[in-house]
Amino acid sequence: MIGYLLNRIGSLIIVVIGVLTIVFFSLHLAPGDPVEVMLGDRSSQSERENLRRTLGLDQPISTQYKTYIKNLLQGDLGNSLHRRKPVAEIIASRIGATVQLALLSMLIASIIALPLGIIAARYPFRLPDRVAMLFSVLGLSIPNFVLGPVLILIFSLWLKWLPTAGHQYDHSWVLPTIALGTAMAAMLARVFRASLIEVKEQIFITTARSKGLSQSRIWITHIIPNALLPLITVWGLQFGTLLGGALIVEIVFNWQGLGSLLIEGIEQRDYPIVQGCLLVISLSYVIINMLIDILYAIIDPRIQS
Amino acid sequence: MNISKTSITYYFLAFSLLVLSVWFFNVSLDPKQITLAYILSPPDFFNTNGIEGILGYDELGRSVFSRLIKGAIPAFTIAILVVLFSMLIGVTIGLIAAFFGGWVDMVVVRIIDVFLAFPGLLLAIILSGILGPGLFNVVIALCAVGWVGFARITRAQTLSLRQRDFVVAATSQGQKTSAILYRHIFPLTMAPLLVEATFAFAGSILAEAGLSFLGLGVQPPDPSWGQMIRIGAQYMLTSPHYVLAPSIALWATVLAINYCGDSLQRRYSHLN
Repeated sequence: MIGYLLNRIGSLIIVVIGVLTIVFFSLHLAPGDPVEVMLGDRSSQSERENLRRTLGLDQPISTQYKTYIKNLLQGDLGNSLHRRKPVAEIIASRIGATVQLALLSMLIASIIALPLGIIAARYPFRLPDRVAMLFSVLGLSIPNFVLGPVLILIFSLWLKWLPTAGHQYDHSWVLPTIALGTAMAAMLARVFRASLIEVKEQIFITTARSKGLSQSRIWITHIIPNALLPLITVWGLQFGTLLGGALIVEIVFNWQGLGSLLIEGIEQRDYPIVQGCLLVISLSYVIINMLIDILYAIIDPRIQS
Repeated sequence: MNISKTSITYYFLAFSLLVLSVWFFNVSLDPKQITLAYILSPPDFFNTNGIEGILGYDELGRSVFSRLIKGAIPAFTIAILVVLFSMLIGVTIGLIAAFFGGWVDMVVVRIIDVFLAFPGLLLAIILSGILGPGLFNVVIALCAVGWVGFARITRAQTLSLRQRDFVVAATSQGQKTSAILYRHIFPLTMAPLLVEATFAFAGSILAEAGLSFLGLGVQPPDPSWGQMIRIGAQYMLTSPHYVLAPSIALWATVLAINYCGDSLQRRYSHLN
């Protein structure tokens, strides 16, 4: 177990260094002079020189990289050019909304997907399975920026049940979480179905059946718990898709989270904000997946070898 | 491969038919033609304006149908280019990593891990935000994300194939590594790659629409589905046709491609 842990943490460190490097160079990838792009055409020479000095862009690139890493280790993500506040502070004020959105979407997706997967696997290749998988393909194919407006149109404008946007009202979380969670529900249902069918054909299920256990007992105590295992990994991987999808859903529903902050940052050419969001989102994704891998190894000792 | 060859023929036929019909309409329609009298007018199924009025008009009085057809072209062009380039890069890297093994493989696996650390669209959005809008930049941004999937599959397939007897036989015959990779290993990785390519195609169309939705893809006045959905959403209450037409078109397209991917996958898994 300790060897496994060290191995995982070792590869985490390599990935984190890679992520930091890509995030650092993302600013230098910008075509032309980033300072000019940030300030616009009408800026004076002295303004540009000033900004260049503040950002440290007049230093050689290796020095810049060192300063960047040093500041990061102290929790300093730089200052926003547009809002004139520390990036870390702005991100801290926005991250809660995104976490809330992602967790609720995951919850809703799981509530939809688990029964769907069970129904499909209970009657594989028959009508219930086909219907469930049809829903799954439909859900996988509808992009969240299509589903979002359609949901607003139906539930906010026509039926007037739910607010159209924002996150300050009582039920404003409902539509964004559905828009974001549908694709995940579709994916989870598929994986769960496949996993259930695989477990169903294992020898220990035949043993349980020959012991005379009832069908429902076999499903609840043997098939479902075993089939849930691979789902843990999918949850982690889909969390990344959720974070990516949140970028768009937050724009559709004017949800004040990290995603909309990132898009605002891109529109305003506020590169420190963009770098900060990129860093926070990808690091949290990597760390969550590592925790899930470790959790998985604890629950299912078979995979450590 | 015999079984899936017939189905590939069908998909190819269907796809050619689609391309032909798009091309046919493409010649006769003008997506930038502004008619002030028609601003946001609803779909007209009785065709007083010919086929152009069939899906109604947008906020500037342009035909939604024309823009839908014209918007399909950049979406498909981008998706085809992205799949081709991602596949080329991914397959090459995957083959090399798996066949040479050792430190080459380790480095490639680490690079793949780093790229996988950026969730889905995130890297593409940032890249196209930094590179600036435009068809070519969108292709670069999506390829930067897309090659990873192909590299992973090719690597995994090759790793299992290189242990097989026929590869060992070819090696002992003294065939060149490049010849073994090209003649013996690559053809056998084709089936799973084809499945991946189909899903990547759907994914690229979605991603391009997503980028256009955020204003990072195709720029107005050139039409694109994502952009139509974003602007159409602003007129949702008064003219739902404007947002619904591109939404349904996008959904149906991605659904159709995903279906192809699904059935290919099913055939492929039967073969195994």
